[in-house]
Amino acid sequence: MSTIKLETSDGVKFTVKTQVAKCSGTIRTMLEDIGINPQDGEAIPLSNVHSTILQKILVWAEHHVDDPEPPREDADAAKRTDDICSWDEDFLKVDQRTLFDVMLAANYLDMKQLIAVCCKTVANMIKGKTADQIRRTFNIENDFPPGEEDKIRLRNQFCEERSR
Amino acid sequence: MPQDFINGLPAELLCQVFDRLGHQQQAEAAATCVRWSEILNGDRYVWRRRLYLCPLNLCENGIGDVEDMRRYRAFAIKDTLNTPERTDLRYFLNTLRRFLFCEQVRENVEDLRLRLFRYSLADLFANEGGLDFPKLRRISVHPSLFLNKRDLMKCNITAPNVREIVLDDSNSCANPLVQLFSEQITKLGVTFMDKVMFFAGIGSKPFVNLQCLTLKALHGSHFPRLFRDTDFTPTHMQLFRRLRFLKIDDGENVFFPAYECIFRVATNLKTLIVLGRDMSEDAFNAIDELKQLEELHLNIEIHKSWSIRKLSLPNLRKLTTYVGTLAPLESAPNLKSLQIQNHTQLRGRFMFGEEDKLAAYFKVFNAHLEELLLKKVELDTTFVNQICTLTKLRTLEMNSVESEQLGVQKILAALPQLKRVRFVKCNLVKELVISFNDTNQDQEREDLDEGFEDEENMNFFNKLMLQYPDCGIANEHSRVVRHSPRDQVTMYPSGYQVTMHHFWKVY
Repeated sequence: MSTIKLETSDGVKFTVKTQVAKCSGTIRTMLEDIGINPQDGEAIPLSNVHSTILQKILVWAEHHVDDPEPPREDADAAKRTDDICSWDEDFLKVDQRTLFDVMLAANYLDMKQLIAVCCKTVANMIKGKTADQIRRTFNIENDFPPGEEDKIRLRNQFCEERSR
Repeated sequence: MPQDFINGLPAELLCQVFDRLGHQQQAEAAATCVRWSEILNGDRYVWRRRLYLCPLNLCENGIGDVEDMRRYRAFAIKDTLNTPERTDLRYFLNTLRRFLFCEQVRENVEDLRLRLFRYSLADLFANEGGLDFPKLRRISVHPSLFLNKRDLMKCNITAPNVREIVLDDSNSCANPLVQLFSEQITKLGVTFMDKVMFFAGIGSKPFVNLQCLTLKALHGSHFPRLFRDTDFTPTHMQLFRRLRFLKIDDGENVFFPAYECIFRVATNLKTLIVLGRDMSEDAFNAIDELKQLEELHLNIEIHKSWSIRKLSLPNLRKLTTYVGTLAPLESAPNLKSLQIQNHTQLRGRFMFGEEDKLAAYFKVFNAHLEELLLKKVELDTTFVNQICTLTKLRTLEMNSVESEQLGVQKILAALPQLKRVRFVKCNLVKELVISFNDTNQDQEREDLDEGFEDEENMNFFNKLMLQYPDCGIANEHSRVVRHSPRDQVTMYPSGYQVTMHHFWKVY
């Protein structure tokens, strides 16, 4: 079983099965297209990822390494947020800092399935909440000038979703 | 002060989150902070919405930001929404015309929905210089009471990319629009109250490019006139022959005598959807000749007798059938998705009779079916046993299904390859055997309640998820119910069987 080394932003080195590392589109491209040779023992630098987050992401990749390629979903299916498998649900029961760091790292590493499952989790945190509740959930500051918030609501009153 | 981490995400990731919200929720999210409102009012989202133009937001002193409204590409025009006076309406019309005809709107609009009650099409579109809507693809019309037949002759408009016309509540007055675009449209939808209206609506043009036709017969006529074979001209027959997609939504049963003649000619259909009340056996047998069919949806009672054909459809991928009269199948080697549903509000029991008949039905597809959807039905053990034979099944969705817990457990145990299991509003029965002769009955039941409280029963689904982590099990509003005892059947001396109402008790 071939392995490669990854080095995080804080200088921690991880030895990872190649197959697991290839869950990341970024690493896959480095290995396959650019032709970085993992046998050299040289660690691939991941300058945007902290070791605590990479550790977490590797746990996810290890669990999902054998997943089949997801079918190309139509627009409706892609909108679902209720199909997170229970393992992933537990995996993402973390504080917000970690959740969004995982999302950023997954984006940097180009891991589409992990991004999707994170987005679904965040969408579920938003669903059913009013603007004020959303702000409180995510500690977002209300930076609208007075009256602007009502205008936005008003504008959206005249809209509906376009059916395809 | 706790930190705002979510806004550390780049806009592209926020978009991926927002994409998964419905329109209402997006509107609420837009009112959260300036950054979110800017993202959600960006072109990516504006282009997916339809904007209502009405006297409230598009009029003198209207509350809309007209500059901003011009960015939309789909509009619904509604002239009765909160209109106080007639004088305002004239003014609204002028504003509306100025809005629609300005270059930015006219050149980009893709979709127009007209719900005009006080204006005619000519009021809206008449223009001496002629008007071109280069990107307009779809027009739907709810015709005005004030429309007259020659109306559109006055409208000098061109829209070379219009492909779809939808006539809501067709009457002869919408005809000019169909006439104008009949050669270029590929999709047509007609909703009508009476067949006279229907024929007046579509006229006698050949529709040489039409591929998709949706017909909906509305309730409301006191004496609905039935369609007859003889109503259709050879031009209509040609039209049906060209169709790839046909949907007939017929709650009034007006198509009953015409199904057969339509199916006999529509040999190019890839999708056939019929929602209605009754279909004759001859009409059903004609479906067997539609060898191109990939999707068949029959939510209708089929009059079955001994001469019914079993369908052999080599390309069929998706079948939806009514539980009362399952569409008989001979062979369907490509069937991947099966939906069995009940079209009434009541839950129906499966009435297959013997297990071997059902087994023969399942044999047609049990080696290749990938998706099974059940809606408003009750699963008995016979049916559960057959589901267990679907070795390629990946998706199982149950909506408003009643079943025993044991049945669900049996299916999951038998089908480890399942990837997506969904329970929506199901009632799963926990079987309890309580002797009614027992004098301590109530006491005993309470003891049982204690024992089973929440952890045992409410967590049934959680337990399933733990037990089968790879099956993607999810539950929406399903519950475990108690049902005791099972259908009390009282035998009367004369041999009549009377089934008592069984009662459900929610845990």
